[in-house]
Amino acid sequence: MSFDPILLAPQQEEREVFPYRRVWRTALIEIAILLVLTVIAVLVTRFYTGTLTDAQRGLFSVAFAVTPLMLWIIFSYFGERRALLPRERLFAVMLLSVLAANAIGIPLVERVFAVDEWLSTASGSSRILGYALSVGVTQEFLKYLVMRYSVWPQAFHSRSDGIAYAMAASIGYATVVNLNYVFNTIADPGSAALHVAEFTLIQLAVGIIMGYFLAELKLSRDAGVFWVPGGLLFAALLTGLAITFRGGLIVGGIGPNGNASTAFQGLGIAIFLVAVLFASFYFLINNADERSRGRSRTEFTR
Amino acid sequence: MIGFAETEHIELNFRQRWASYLTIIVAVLALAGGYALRVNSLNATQRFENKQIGLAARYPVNWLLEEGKTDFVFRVQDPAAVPFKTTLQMALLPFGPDALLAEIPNYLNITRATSLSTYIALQINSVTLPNGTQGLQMEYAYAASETNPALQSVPIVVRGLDVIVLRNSQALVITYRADVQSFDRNRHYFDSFLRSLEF
Repeated sequence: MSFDPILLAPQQEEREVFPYRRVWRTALIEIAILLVLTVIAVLVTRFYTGTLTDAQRGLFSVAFAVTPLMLWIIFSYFGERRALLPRERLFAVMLLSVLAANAIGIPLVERVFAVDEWLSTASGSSRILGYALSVGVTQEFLKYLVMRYSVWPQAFHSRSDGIAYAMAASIGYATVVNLNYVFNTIADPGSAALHVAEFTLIQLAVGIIMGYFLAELKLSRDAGVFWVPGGLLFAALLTGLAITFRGGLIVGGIGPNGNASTAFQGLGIAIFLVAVLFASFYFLINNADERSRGRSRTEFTR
Repeated sequence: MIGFAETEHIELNFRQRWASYLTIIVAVLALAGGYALRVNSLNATQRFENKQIGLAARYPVNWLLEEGKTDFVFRVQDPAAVPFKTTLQMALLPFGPDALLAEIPNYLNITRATSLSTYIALQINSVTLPNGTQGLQMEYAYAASETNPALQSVPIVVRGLDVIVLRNSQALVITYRADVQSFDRNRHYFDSFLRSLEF
């Protein structure tokens, strides 16, 4: 008499090993830490009764301006190196974006377009269009060029690769924008922290658009020739909207107690952009990946 | 860390190649559009007309207009200009029918020396306006102080330029003022203003 062994517990399904760094998770961790640090800086500034010298303020501002980059290096870059299949040349993309922003982006926006000269007094619609066609196109086109001519298409194996490289390019660009702000402005620590957080979050949120469209162009058969140019214009328009609404929101009303700026509302629009764009592109990417998997299964079973 | 040396080459398909070309074309066109928008915005003007006095001219949009004060009939200022608000101004000075054009700069120098701090006349040349009228052009400089003493700012060196023409028994003084750093950069506003002037 023989017995076949009976399994008392169902056989454990082998879990699929995810070989890449999860970009959304690390990005959200970095954003959360940046926001916590910003709130701490604002609260300390508000309740600290002592005075800081200009040198101390400058030092704090510079340190805070490079904080997003440090967070990206710690969580995204080192996280990438620990992954089974690390994405190639992530650091190079960030570095090229820094160089492009410093050599082309900032001079083009501040000297050639000189946006402060003509857009600060323009009407709302003119400001949106003006910022979109100057600041928006400049920064998104430079990020596109950096990705296109350094890692695309050879390093784009999945749609999340597009997001990872776009975030690297965005963090590089944001660091230069942040440093340009703190080197030209003497602001109290809370104000500097708010500016840095706003610039960084807007760059990160809008930046993923070009990464997504580049990844689609590589991986999807449905992506047409107008896909990436359309993405560029969409990202530029969102930049124009973000700058205009941020400017409108941080200026407080004039009342009997004077006019107070409501700086937290500027941060609010940056957080709103991050939430909406991250959620939208997370959904789009998951949806596209599911469709790709379904299609490949169908082809396999045929 | 960077590793560009081992870049592998992947042949792009038609769609990917044209998407790259189109992105560059769209970006260049959009940037050109942004620059055109800037030029249009900076050169956009609106019309000022005073039929009673018989003056009309075009001045930059978004500049702040003042009319009918005792020392000028028209003045516009750029609200965004710092530290000194770039100014275009027209004043009518009554003179007798025998007045000579060359006397008017002296009159202006005497009155301004008492009202403007460290006023100094620089040079006087003859000039022909775009409509063919002969006049005089006088350059000067002075130090403008902040009107609010609580702000404790250092005085600003202002450069001014007057174009003076005679009209019947009146002298029309068209003035351009800007801080010394932005005087040449903003001069095109004054040149455009003179080109549009009707009197």
